[in-house]
Amino acid sequence: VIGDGFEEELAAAQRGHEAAFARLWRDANPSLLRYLRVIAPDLADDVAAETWLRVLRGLKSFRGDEQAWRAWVFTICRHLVIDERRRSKAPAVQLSEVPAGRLATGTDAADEAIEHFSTRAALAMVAALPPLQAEVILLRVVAGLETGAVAKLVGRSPGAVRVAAHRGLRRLAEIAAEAGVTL
Amino acid sequence: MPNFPWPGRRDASAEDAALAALLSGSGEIEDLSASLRPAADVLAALRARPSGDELAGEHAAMAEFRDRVGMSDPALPTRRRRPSVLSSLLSAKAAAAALCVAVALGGAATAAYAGALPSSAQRLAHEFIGAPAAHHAMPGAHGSGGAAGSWARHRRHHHFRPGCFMPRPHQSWSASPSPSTSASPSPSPSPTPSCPPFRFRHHHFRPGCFMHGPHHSWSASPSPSASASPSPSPSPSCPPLPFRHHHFRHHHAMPHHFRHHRFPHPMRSPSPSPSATMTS
Repeated sequence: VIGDGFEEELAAAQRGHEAAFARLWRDANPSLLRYLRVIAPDLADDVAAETWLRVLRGLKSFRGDEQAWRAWVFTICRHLVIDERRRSKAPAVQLSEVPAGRLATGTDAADEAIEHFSTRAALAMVAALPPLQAEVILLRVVAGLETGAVAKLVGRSPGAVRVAAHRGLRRLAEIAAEAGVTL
Repeated sequence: MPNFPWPGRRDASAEDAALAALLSGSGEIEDLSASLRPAADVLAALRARPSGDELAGEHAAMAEFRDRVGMSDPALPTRRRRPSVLSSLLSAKAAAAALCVAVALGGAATAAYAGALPSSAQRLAHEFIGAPAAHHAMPGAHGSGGAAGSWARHRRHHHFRPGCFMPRPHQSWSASPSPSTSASPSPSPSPTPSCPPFRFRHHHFRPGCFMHGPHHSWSASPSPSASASPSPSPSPSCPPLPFRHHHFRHHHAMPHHFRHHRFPHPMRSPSPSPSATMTS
């Protein structure tokens, strides 16, 4: 999250300053990839690149604060994933059914979490959640969106989003506890 | 009704608040219950700093940014504006110059067709754009001033050299009569040896035929004694010639008394003694 200097960075990027856009990209692209590695692990890199192309197309006309910016970027990304799924006519893959080898983790997420409690292990644990809970947690935690923005993005009510997030966190704590993650 | 406390409900609201704080990243780990602490570690890992592979596509993204909207140097906008201002100024100057040239050319063409140019310029205009010849510039010269005046005018409008009747290439005269400035009845139009040989260009000269187009009302007569009265019918011995590459307007541009006058032809008559009288 960029914070207070976001408006200046965005304005500079819209004027064409490469360094400002680089800061926006460095801030958002890791979050984007983490989100994609959970909801579309086989399309993560391609969809991320296509998302930035769409962002560049609409960059000069974008108006809003940092929350709106991140919501916009992730909305583009999510729509691209949905379009790609429709185009390939592949059945939606439940995150819980994704084999461990297709995720960006090791073969045993729990073991890796014990040894290297890294981002990839955490993503593997999130991927073990039901899809809505996983997506809501990712959008809240990784993308940094507020509940209302997440609700709008996933097409649910803010209450449903809140409930899904809390249930997902409780389940995530159980998975981590089972994997032996302790403080 | 007694007011019963609901300890379970209070615990649930506290846990929701802790979860909300966990999601927003504002809560302290020590405030969390032991059951939620592993989740806090997972969320902290999700918020970890980006790894190298997550930033690997930066160069490609920047290249795309440069292609679509970007510029790498903040000074570039002023650099880009300058050529546009300069080019607009240059284009305005070029447009003004083109307008001036067009007006000048139009005026020159108008003057050329009106015959108002100096004789040399009029001749050029006559050659290149088909404007009237230089002697068209004085339309009032016809039939005024008598023979002496006509000769004088002719000498003025044609290129005489003393003793050398020098027609211009497009004129149909083939001889080089020596004109006399005085309108004497015997102007001795014999060719002068000092004259350069006359070259026929675009004309079909046949010896014995005084060359003129079919539109002329007079024709050559083989008789060396030219009469002052023009013969209205062409001679059978000299059929009208096709005028290829010939400009009829050159003949029309000739003074009237020239058109209705016969000149001796040196090739037709070795010793011509024409009495070139002028008709008015």
